[in-house]
Amino acid sequence: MSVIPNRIAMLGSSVAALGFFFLPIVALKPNRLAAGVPFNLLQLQGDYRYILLFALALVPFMVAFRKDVTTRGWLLVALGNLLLLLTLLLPAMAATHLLANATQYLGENAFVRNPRVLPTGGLALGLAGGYVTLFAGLRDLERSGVQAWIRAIGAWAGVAVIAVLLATGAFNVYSVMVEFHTNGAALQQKFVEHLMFVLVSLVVGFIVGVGLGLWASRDERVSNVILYAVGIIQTIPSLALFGVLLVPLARLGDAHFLPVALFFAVSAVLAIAVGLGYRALAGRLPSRLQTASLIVAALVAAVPLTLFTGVFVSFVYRAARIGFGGGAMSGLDNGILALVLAGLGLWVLRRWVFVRDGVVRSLVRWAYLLAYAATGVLFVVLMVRAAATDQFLGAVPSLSALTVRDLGVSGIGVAPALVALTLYSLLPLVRNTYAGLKNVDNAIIDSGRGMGMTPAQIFFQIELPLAFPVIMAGVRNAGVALVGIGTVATVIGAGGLGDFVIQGIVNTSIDLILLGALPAIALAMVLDALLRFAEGLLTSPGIRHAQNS
Amino acid sequence: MKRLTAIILAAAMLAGGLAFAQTYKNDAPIRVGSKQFTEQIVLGKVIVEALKANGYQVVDKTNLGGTAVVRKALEAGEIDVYPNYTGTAISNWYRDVPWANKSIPAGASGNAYQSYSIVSSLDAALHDLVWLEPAPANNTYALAVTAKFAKEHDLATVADLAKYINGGGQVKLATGDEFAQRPDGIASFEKTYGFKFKESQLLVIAGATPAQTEQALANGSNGVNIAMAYGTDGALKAYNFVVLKDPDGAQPVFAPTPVFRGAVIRKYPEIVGILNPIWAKFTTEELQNLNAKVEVDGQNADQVAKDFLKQYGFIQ
Amino acid sequence: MIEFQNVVKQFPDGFRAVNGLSLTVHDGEITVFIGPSGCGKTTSMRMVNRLLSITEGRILVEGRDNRDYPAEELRRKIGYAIQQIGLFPHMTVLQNIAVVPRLLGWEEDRIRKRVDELLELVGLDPDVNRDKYPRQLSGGQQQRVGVARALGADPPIMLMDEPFGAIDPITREVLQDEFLEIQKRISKTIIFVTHDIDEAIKMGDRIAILKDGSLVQYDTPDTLLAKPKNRFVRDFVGADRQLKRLGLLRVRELMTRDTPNVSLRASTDDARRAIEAAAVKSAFVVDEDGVLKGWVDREGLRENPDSLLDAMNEGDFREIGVRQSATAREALSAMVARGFRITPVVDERGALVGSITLRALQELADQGWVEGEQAS
Repeated sequence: MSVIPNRIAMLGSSVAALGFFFLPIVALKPNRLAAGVPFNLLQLQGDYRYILLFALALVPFMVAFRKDVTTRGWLLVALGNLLLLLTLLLPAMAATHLLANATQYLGENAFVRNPRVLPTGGLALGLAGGYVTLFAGLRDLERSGVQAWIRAIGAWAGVAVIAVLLATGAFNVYSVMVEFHTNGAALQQKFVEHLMFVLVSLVVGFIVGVGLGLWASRDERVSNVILYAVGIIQTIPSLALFGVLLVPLARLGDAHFLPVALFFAVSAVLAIAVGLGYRALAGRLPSRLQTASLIVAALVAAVPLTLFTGVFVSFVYRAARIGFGGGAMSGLDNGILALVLAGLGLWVLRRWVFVRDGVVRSLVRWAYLLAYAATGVLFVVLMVRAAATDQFLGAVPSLSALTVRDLGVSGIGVAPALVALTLYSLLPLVRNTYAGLKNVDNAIIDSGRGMGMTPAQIFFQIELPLAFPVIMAGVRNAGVALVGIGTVATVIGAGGLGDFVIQGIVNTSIDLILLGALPAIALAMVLDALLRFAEGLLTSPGIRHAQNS
Repeated sequence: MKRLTAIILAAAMLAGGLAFAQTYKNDAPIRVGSKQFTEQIVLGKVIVEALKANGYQVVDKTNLGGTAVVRKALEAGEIDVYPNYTGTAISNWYRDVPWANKSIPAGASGNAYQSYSIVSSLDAALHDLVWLEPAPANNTYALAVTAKFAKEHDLATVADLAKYINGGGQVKLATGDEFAQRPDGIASFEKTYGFKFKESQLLVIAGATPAQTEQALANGSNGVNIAMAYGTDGALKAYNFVVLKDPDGAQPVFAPTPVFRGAVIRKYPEIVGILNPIWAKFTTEELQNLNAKVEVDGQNADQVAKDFLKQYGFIQ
Repeated sequence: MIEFQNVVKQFPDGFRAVNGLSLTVHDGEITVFIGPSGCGKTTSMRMVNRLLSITEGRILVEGRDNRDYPAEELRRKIGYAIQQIGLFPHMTVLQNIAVVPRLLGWEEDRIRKRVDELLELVGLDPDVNRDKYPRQLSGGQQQRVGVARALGADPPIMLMDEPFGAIDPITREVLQDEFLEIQKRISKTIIFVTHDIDEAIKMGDRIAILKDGSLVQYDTPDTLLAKPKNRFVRDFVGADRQLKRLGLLRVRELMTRDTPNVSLRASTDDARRAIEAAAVKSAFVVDEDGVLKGWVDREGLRENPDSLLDAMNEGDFREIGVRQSATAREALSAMVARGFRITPVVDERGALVGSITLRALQELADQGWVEGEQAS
């Protein structure tokens, strides 16, 4: 049996080595704004350590040719971790030296005020190469059958050490960290904001998107309309969508609540009437007219639906912001979190541990149902209390004075961001729900029907579990995309990590851009990992490996 | 059954919310906004800290969005105050409205007092917005060159530059597209000082702010040797640039001024007495200095605002 | 009992898939629906548990119009197994089999017991297979689980739509045999849809041949093969239907019981007398336990008049005899291969129980042929 050389490791090695050789690894800037003087790894004054780093980048290339896959895997994992660690650590050491002698390196004319060291392309490629090498090693280990948890240790060891070093301040010389220390307090707030509007729009998008996907999967004619519509939304540039929403939402915000509620009631009744009329007539119309009338019905239905969604999303976000952000809500928020976790834990136990014993099983089942019921109640209480504070509805003197703006809807701020982000999340959610449900084998559904399952049982016990991995892939897509698009929401005053990015662009301060971008990247990756984990936990082992995408 | 539960829960939630709503007093905090660049954030933070120090409840909404967003937010009552510029108000709002444009004298934008009185009275009448005392600073559009270039060609004012260009001197101006196209932008300089940038002498960067044009000048990329700049930019010092003076007032005056919603000032009229003395300290040099602390030194805008207020004894 | 009464199925596009079908499916029997594709066999079956609605006529299930039952309740008392197996891939074997019992609200303990019982019935070790997922099983094992699942709540009636269709031929034979064994024990009333005439003949107690939504012939396999009603049926059952029919008949049912035989210890005279008494050419030789040891004919007796042992042709019963459980078709091919005109029939031990002649088999085949020809 011949073992092919690990090509991925060769790639990682080449990326790092080329990066170290050709690109500057850091730049010394005289102040926050002015452009810096770049330094290649091999130009760094000091000692042999920097040459060693370059040599280290070359080693995976040679290791890649080893025949013993297990040893090779471990070597590559070790080298990858080492490369990640040293690529960050050694230039940081050099940076201290550069900063101490800044005037000497920058020359007389430079305006040296709080000089800083900016990590540049060489460092980025070094990290990329290290990561690719690590990944190459993990693949070898997977191939040679090393257990998943042992591989996980190998995968995260370097990151863990880096995290510890980060906490001890080993990387404080880098300009991003300097920026972090001046704006750290705001960073946490912006991060929470970002997370909140991504999560809220993802949840609402999930409800609406899965609903639409379900509808589309049931009716071929509807599916064309829906998929086309959500596809069009995706083509609107985010900046334009935020801008387009500004005026109508501001108008809506100005309106008093009571007439809007009345309008909503009337339009909802109208939509239901039109929908029922369509259902009654649909069979009798020629097919072209049928499609046309469907579109009309869908548009009529979209009015109350959009109105409700927009107001509801904004209201929930405002209340959640105050409820979870205040800390003054008498620990309700922590209680909710604890109950959710307890419920989840019990649910996992029920699934994996207590399956055998009927009594314990039903006890656990009741306990977790109770946990979630209590969560629901607490959540409502929290929302009501948050809504009642003088930061929110508490400030409104009377019901007749209540405007839609008081419920959280406005042309600027989070409301349009939530609406836009919710709209953006629809395509992957609708498409994947549709595809997932469509791909469930008809024979399987027929079996369920033939055995006497009701349509609801077929949906919840057969279709949903089978389509679940595909739907979850859509949720992950949407989530990661929203974290990115969310950074644009700053332009309409929604806040979030985009605040740093846009300020960094306005000031041409790369450090500030990175301060917004790096947490956004981390957030996207963590969100993706968490959703993957949840997906793995919730997907039946019977279909877990069946689809590998 | 499930549906019924859901309806009851929703009803309970709404009823609870409304019931609680009656029990809280109407005591809305003051929401302070700002646009998304350093000076605006610093000025916004100064308002936040000053009001806080005087016992007001404040919501910090600085760094809210672009000009249009922040202005709309103020008009719509979603924020209560933000630092506006007289020049912006004239050029961006009222020059675009035909009837208002007709009523504004031709040279008014270049005159600090005239422009302030026009925009403050229009805003008060049309939008119930109150302009406090404007700062002495003028954060207007300006042309910046490197100190070396200024020395070599003996440039101190735009008039000197006009002479240099008309004498066949090599120039390349880095500018944003808006400044290049607006009649009160480059065209106003050209008209006032009698010179003309050729098409090839302009590097127009779409949507560029002074930070970008200044960086283009600092890098000397594409042969750029002049940059569009703001008068109060902190970066000018960092790059060792010289701002060419505009003695004939070709550009509108951009005096930063806190603009409040009328309702807030009527409720807390003493705010005027708190902010006006502070605003009087904002000279062009002071703003350059504060901006530089944030942009060049990398200090936190909150801290810079607090330090400024402490330095002049407005807060402890 | 399932009774189709003038059942019509017309689809919304106007296609009449079933056109006035009337027939009775008897209790405890496997009734096979067969016909070319589009003949309405699956449609007819799917109307029984109302997966399809009935346009006209009615179907009685245990004496009641099946529309009098709530649809889900009706389906839960009718086992259902289909060609693509239709196992739920996200459920374990246990969960799959437990679907209907759970729908019916059985206790967990009872379900568990039932699942193990069914797994054993279909020949799968419960302890090994209970918690496996379908993808961990072979095609044949999956099919067995499919059958077990259809039997989950012990329904009196089962509908099987080409349940062995997606399996390789060898495994299919095995599964068919196993299922027939199971059916012997459980005696369900089964409608079995297939397009494979050999499977129909093997599995069916009765076969309904359908064409264009109408019943062409409804008979036992033997009658169907012996007396096809018309050219369509004759063509459908195939040119080798005589052979097929022989495949249906067991030697046990066709053999002559009192066949001339002599003991090993008998004298040649005894043997000669026995042959002459029966007016045949030869007699079979058995030992004291009745086990077939060979045969002796007139010629042999003439050449060796003194010793029966010398006169007889010795042979192992496995080589010269056929078992009584063998089909007539097997007997025929054995006789052709050995060049016998008559062959002894033995039981499991090898004891002689009778004999069967080539002529008898030929007559049987001809009879069907001739009658079939006359009918058309």
